[in-house]
Amino acid sequence: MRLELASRPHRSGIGLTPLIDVVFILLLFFMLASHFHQWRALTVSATGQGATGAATPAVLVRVHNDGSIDLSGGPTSIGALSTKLAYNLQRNPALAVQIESDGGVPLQTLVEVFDQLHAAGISEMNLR
Amino acid sequence: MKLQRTERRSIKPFAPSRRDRSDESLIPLINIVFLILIFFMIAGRMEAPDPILVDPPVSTSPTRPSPPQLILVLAADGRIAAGDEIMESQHLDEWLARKLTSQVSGDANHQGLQISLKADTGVRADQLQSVLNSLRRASVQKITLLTTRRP
Repeated sequence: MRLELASRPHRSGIGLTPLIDVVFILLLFFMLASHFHQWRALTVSATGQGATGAATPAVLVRVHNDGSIDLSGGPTSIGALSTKLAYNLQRNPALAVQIESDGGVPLQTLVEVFDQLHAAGISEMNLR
Repeated sequence: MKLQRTERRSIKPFAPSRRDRSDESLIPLINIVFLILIFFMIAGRMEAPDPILVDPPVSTSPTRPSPPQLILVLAADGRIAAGDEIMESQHLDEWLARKLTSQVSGDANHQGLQISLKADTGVRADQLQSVLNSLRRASVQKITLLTTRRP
């Protein structure tokens, strides 16, 4: 009698260990397979010449290998770029902006420059 | 005397539950693991991994990408991956030509290729420029550069 009583509560339900095994495997799977990148898109000009013709006024942003930036010939900084461009665009909304960069400029710098252009209201990245 | 009493009291409640303790102490662990599992299931997104690992540039652009027809992955060492293929940059032109002819024969009213570029932060401007020139020669209609959001 005593033995029966002692063994009864021991065999209640399924053990937790298999459950934990499966949950750990699921957790590992989801940890390894999922990622948290939030993708953003920058539109790059597909024509290379800009949507406008040669007759419209254009501004040239030059990016040098050492990270310095010229705005139509005059040196400027990346922080001042968007205000200067916004001012130019306000006076002339048809202004086309082109980015010209040296060969060794890393992509991250180009994207940062384009972020400034985007802040000034330019929607298409015109690289040449 | 007093001390002995308190000792007895503190020991007593442990004695009967010793057998269940192994299972019961696991329950907080399972709770946490379940929480983490649910977090990863809901917050993470699953995508097929790219054939080349790239570290995309960070931008402040608010535009979310539209589902692209084709993704080209550019690595910093000049390799280009498209689908499952990995090629050197000089073979991009012929690959694009093949892709374009198969697309034109595939559907009559195609509106040109739309290509998304997933490039590494370390890709140099001249590498990007040569890829863009190839895409323009192949008269790709829309080119987007994929970046990640600034955290």
